[in-house]
This record gives sequence, C-alpha cells and structure tokens, in this order.
Amino acid sequence: MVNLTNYENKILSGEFGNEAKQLVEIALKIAEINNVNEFAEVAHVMIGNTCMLSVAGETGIEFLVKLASSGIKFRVPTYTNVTSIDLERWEELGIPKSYAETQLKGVGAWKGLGAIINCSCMPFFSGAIPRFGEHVAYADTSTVIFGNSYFGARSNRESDLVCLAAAVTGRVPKFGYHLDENRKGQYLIEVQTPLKSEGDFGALGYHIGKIVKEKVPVFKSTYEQNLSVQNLIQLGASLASTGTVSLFHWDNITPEIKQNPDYYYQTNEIMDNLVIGSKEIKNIYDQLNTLKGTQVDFVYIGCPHCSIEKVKYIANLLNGKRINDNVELWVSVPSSVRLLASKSGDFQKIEQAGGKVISDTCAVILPMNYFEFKNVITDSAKAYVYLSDFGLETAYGTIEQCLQAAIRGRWGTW
Amino acid sequence: MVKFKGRSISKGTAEGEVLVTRQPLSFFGGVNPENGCVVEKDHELYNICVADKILVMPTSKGSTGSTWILIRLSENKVAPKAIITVETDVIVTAGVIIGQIPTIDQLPFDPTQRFKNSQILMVNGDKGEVGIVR
Repeated sequence: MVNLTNYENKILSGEFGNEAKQLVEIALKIAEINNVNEFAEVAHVMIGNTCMLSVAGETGIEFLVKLASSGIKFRVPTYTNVTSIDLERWEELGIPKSYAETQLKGVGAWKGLGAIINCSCMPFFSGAIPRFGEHVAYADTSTVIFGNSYFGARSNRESDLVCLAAAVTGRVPKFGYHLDENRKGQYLIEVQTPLKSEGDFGALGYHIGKIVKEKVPVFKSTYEQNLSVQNLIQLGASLASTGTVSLFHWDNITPEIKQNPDYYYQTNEIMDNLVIGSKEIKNIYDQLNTLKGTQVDFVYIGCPHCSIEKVKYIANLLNGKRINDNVELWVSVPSSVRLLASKSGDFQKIEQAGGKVISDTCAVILPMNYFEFKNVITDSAKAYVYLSDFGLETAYGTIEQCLQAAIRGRWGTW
Repeated sequence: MVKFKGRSISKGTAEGEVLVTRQPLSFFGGVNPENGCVVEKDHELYNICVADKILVMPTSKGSTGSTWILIRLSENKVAPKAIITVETDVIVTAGVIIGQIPTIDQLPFDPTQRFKNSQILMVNGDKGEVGIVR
C-alpha cells in the first residue's frame, strides 16, 4: 500500500471537494493496478487534455472550474499544453465567440489553480527544463518522449488526470519510465543513410514507431547526423504517434546512453535489429500522400510547436515571397516564441507573406470542423496521422516542399 | 449464476447485453461522444453503438484524449453500462473512475474470446466479478 501524505489524506477526506478527491483516487488506482507502492516527487508537470474544449468538451472545462473553486492550488510548477483556441487571435481565425468563451473559462480555471499559461506541447521553450534523471509528469506524448530522450528526465505517457493529481499533490506513481530497468534499449535501429532534413527524421520515426510499438529503440549511424533539437523533437513525436514510444536513445548522443552505454544497450531480451536506408525513407514520403489531386487548401507547420530557430528558418524561406491566395498557411508556436519572433521581425516576414503564426493551439486541437479544409500538406508525421483520421486528404513533405506548395498553390512531384 | 473473478478497476454494478470486439478501441477519434457510436472506419464495430452495452474489449489504444471521451459518453448517457477488458490502461482507468462506469479486467480467461454478442452479463465493479445471467 502507498504511504499517503497528510495532504493527500486531507484531499481524500473531501476537504477540497469531489474533483480533487477523484484525482487522488485515480492516482492511487493507477498505482494499485500496476502493483506500485511508491510515489516519486515531481520537479514540475505539464497538464493538458481536460482543458481542451475539442477533446474533453464542456465536461472537462466544468471539472476544472469546480476543481479551482475548491480553493486548491497546484503545488509544483505546472505547465500547460495547447487549448482549442489561439488565446489572442481566435476571432481572426473565425472561431465563434461562444466557443472561445467556454475555452477561456477553462484557461481561467487553470489560472486560478496557479498554472503557467504557456499553452504548448513544448513547455521547454517556456521554461520547463528538467534535469537528467528528474521525475516529471507530462500529459502529451510528444512532450514525454522528448523530455525522456533528450533530457534523460522521467515521465510515463500520463493521463491528464494523473498529471493534474501530480500538480495538486506533487507526486506521481513510481513505475514504468520512472525506473532504470524500464529505460533500456530494446531495439537497435541502424540508420545507413544521411538524414537530410527534419522531414527525414519524421519519416524515420513514422516508420520505426509502427514496428517497435511501445518498445525503446536505440538509433545508431555511421553517418554524421544532424541531431538538432528540432530534428529530435520530430523523431520523437512521430515515434509516439505511429507507435506508443515513450523513450528513444541515440548512440553516443542522448545523455543516458552516452553516460552508460553498457547499461542501456543490454536488455533482458536480445535486442531486435533493423537497418534503415535511403530506400526506406523515400518509401515513407511516397506512402504519406493521400491527396487525390494537386490542389492545396491548407499548409500546416508546427506539430510539435516550432522553436524560434525553426520560425526564423521559415521566415527566411518566405521573405519577400507571397503565398497563393487560395492557401491557408499556419505556423504554430508557443506564445513565448511568437513574442520572440515579433521582436526579431520573423513573425512579420511570415505574416507579410500571407501566413499566420498562431499560438496556444494547433491544428490537431483546434475545432477543425469550423474550417472548410479538404486537404492539408504538413511537415509533421504526427499531424499527418491525426489530420488524416479527421478525414482530411493529407500529404507529408519537408518544410521546403510545404512552403513551395503554399506559394504555388499546388502539391506536385519533386 | 456462474461467476468469474477478475480485478476491480471501477466500482458499481450493471447488467446488460454484451458487445464484444477483439480489436483495441481508441475512444478519442474512434467513438462519437455525443451518441456513443464507433466512427473509426477500419474498426470491426464501425457504426455500432456502445451505449448501454457491456463492452468487452482487449485494451484501448491511441491518445490520452480517450479518457475524456469516456467521461463525456457518461455525461451524455451513452456510455457502456460496464466495461470488461483483458488489461486496463491508464487512459481507460481514469475515464471509468470519473465517468463512473463499472469496469473489471484480468479475468482468468480472455473475455473477448469467451463472451459473445447478445449474452447477458452482470458486472460487479466493486468485487471485480462478472456473472453470466444467460
């Protein structure tokens, strides 16, 4: 049985109302069904889904409003994921006022609880900097895999309710990726081709995620690869979308395997082995195209949210150019990055070209039924997966291909 | 009544007709929260509604957004009467506790093989038990 703190017992007694009580009950139930007796103290958390009007509906918003009205406050720094609107530009995007007002009620509840209103799946760009080995709780699969892989932090693919419980109590059930033994590599992927773009990393993740499912892949390459933040963010997000991967290692680069290769290469089972070459990568680009014609309605960049460096890159590609009148181009970023981008002129370059830099939300969580897009071109394998599920004809390309399509108004062969 | 013991995930009792699937079901993107009907095109339950059924499934899959779809199903009174899984994950656990949908798992056999559509079962979430009514 888990040793509860006095505070947790207080919450269970109903002192902070029913919602807080249910949060702690859920955390305890998760511990029970996973035979876990220990809780880990978290350094910070990121909460999400419950406040996404398009996902949790008014039910989720009401839950948060009631939780906030109990007077309870988050006990650890609590970052937030996207909402279903751009907090500043929702009207410009054509979101109905009543929808925005309901969503804003949820954000108000977050505020009342003491959350950080960064509204992004990349809280790292707004101050969430986990230390190597630190326990955290993240409610977005892209955040989890990047936090675990790049920083060596420790989070499970958490339900938002467990993250809310962790925000309120400061603790999370200690199992899964919180434990050393579950973080070892289980699949060795040899990359025998240079990965030339962020798109190649996304394609790699799309392909490998399907194969390894929930296991921990270890990547290795004799080529010198550009293992930038953006590229590893894309790799992680794709792995977490076609698979349910929570952690990957890159030989000699990511901190856990760099520090202790013997530990992270060896597993109880013999590692399965896969070789990826240029043919496999090209096949994925070919596969990821369900567009029936060449017409383009919507080009979407920013899943996960772009860093300021990526925004600069896009601004430079668009500088002095104009996107086609029939195309909507969105670049989604955290609001902290939008602010930075407007200080450096990059926001203005994108907007003057006809694009929209939107923040606090994304194309997966916006109520896409309010827009009449029939197709989308995206540089994100994760967005590809979700937006095709929504019924859009979807195509995947590199940033350059996406922006060219936005300018030409056509998707074509390269 | 023949009874089998599994594990309690969420409390409450319910009696109803089985709706069984052998494919993992993603509630987020896969089930319409307004009417409880399956909208995932490739799923074997496509266009069939889970409302008021004893839903028997292997496990859930996909995004953690599924938790809130389950809660909304309950709020809209189109949730399953009870859920029996082979193995319950965090996503379903959180959803059935807040949504108050009696749920059990870890029966001594695979329920997706054992139970058939239109059988009547009695699920006791408190005890983690299921009984065959007929």
